[in-house]
Amino acid sequence: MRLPSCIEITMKNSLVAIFVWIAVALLGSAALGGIALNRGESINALWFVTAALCVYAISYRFYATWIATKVLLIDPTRATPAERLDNGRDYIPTNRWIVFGHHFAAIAGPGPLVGPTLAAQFGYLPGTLWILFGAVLGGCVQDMVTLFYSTRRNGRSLGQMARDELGAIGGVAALTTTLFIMIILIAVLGLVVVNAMKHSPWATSTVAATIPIAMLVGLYMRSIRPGRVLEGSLLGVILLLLAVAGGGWIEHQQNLREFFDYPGLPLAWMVIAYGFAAAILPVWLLLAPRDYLSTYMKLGTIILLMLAIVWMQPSVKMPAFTQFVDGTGPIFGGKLFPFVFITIACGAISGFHALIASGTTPKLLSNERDIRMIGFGGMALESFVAIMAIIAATVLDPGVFFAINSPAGVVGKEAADAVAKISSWGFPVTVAQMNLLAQQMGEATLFARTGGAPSLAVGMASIFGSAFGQGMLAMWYHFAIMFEAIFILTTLDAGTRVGRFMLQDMLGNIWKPLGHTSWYPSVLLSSGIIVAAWGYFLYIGVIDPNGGVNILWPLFGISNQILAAIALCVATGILVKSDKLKYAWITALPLTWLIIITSSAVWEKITSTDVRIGFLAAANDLAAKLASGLLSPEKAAIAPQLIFNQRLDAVLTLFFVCMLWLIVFDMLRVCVRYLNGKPVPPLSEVSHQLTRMEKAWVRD
Amino acid sequence: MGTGLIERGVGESFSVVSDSSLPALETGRDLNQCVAQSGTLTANEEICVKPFQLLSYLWRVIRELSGDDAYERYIAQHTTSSPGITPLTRKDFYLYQQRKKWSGIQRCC
Repeated sequence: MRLPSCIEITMKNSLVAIFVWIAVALLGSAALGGIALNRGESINALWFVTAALCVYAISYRFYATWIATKVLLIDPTRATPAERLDNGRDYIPTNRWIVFGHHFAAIAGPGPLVGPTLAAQFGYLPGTLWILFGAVLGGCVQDMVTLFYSTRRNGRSLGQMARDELGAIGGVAALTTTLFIMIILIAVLGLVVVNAMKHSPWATSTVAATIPIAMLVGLYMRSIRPGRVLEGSLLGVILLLLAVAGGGWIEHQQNLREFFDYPGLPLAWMVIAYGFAAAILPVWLLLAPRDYLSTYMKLGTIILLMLAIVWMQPSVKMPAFTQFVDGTGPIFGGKLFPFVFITIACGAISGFHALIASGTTPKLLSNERDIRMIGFGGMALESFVAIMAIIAATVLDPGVFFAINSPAGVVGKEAADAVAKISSWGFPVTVAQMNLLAQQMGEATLFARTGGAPSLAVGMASIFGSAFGQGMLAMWYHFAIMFEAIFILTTLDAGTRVGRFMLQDMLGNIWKPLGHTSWYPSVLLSSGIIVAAWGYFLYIGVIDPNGGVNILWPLFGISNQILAAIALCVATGILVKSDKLKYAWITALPLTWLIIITSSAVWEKITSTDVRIGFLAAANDLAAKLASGLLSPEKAAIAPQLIFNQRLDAVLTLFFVCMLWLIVFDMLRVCVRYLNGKPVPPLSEVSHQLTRMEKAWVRD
Repeated sequence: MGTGLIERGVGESFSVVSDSSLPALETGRDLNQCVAQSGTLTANEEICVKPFQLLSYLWRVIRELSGDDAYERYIAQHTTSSPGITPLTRKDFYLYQQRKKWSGIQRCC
């Protein structure tokens, strides 16, 4: 018998591959078509999972590969900075799966869980489509391209690359936007946690218990068994699960439950005090151990949620579109365009990722070939997390979803008023239904629990409950709240610390000692300034009767998208300067889209006459009401602060968009000069050096 | 294939980097080679993946991913790259590593 030749085998394999990819494309189109065209009562969530996986698989196999081989010209024979500068500390060639794990753990925060939940007010379809196509055409490309360019520049940061490739303006714009986005991000995440703990002794006691648990684990890893991370984490995870159960016990103890029952404002002060303490404590005591715990919790819960969705195949009950596409939505004001694109930043495209992709990750890559998997693949996975969040939000009865997420300022303080209003929108819900749900979840009430965390927790609890037993609903709900709170608090600690370093760096230019990161007066001062900055927005968010999320989340979305636009500007500039004008659309296309959506969102936020959208309209309306004495005494007391805040927000959004246009024009200026043969800052790419890692380039 | 073995010229420092301690798990061949490297299988033995070996490989992945074996890797690197200099203690290394890690942007939104 004649053995088949290599060519025959290759041809047979490629034929099989062609058929497999055609099948994936057909399945993906069918699933997407099913989701898009369904106008029935409900739709199986498995269609969302199928559509998402097919879109990611096709774009990864074809688009990402094309970008890697034709546009970026990824070179597996080229030594990476990790190999060339290997010092066992900052630069360490690392296995690609390990780098993928670190990179994903760093990029996946609470953003992809909260944004899609809020955007579900438009219906399931707009958010889902934006998450899928925004990710593969925008977010994944941004992450991959930034990672590539940073790797070719010894792991330089986004700010440094902006300065080197475009000029000083780009560098300053990247740095200041990063600092502001950090402040807004921490404030809005703090608000999400406060709203989840408001009048919930179970949630508050569980979240409070995470602090001593993290400290205990910190002591264990430092002093009892130094560096034994897995042992310490296992201990911590067990204690956290006990804390969730213990919270349930506290909930039923009359004396103890009062001790953990607080309204929003005291909780906000506690979060602010906590943030300050966490920023000045040594990292080993609180931040590092908490991060280990939150990473395991995050990965474990996401995997569990994915398994439960695939196994239970819950029905999505939210319609494809709601009437709120016209801008009258209760959760946040504003039309579908541009606000769905602003609300879902993380999960579709997130500028913050560019900071991670130009931070630690490029210093660990052992081969350029891994960039596609880590940059593109990592973002695709995060996008998948966002798809699961939108499923968890839309499997709830729409009436229940709106009852949980609508602030009292919109639907009324009384339960009867709220259900009447929500039912009048065509989303029937009753007080009895909400009370039963609250009782099942072990909460006093689920009305007006804005911020996305409670409704996500109810959605997750109902999915987990149907998969693993209904008797544990309250436990699942509080597990989900604890899971969200623990990594929100990690972002809060880490963000405050990074903000402090950035501020110290700037202050160091004014007076040198202020730049010393270990000089205690400077540490206290800079931490205080950063905490005061986000604390201010958190405070206003809590006292705002419209829920605060309505203001803060769009502000966060706009700033995050603008950071993404800055990263894409840098990438487009480099592509043009590398004589790849014909391929520059891969970054210029998402960049153009981001410029359109952020500029329109800012335009609406400033000029809209609708008080729920326009900052200035709201400020003027409140000022007029205050002047004519129409406000109740308690509203009149906080009105001046709210008016000031709305005007400040208007200035802030204007500042963001000016930064964006500044860097866009700077990038265009550099490109036009280059194309006309005039001098521009030279490419800062490190020259080629052959890899010495044995046969790394014939790996596949 | 990422065997991670590093060739260095004469006189150049040789470092056992993490890539060599944990090759890429990409194909069956890779896995077998990695098991062979880890010393549980000799090169002449018939290549087969036993559940125990797979578990031991996964355990190493988990340890490296979490940083549980960071000190061992540091010592291995240190012994070859800077012989004669006293390495940091386990505790000091852990503290150094955490300080360094949290000086930059490590967590996203």
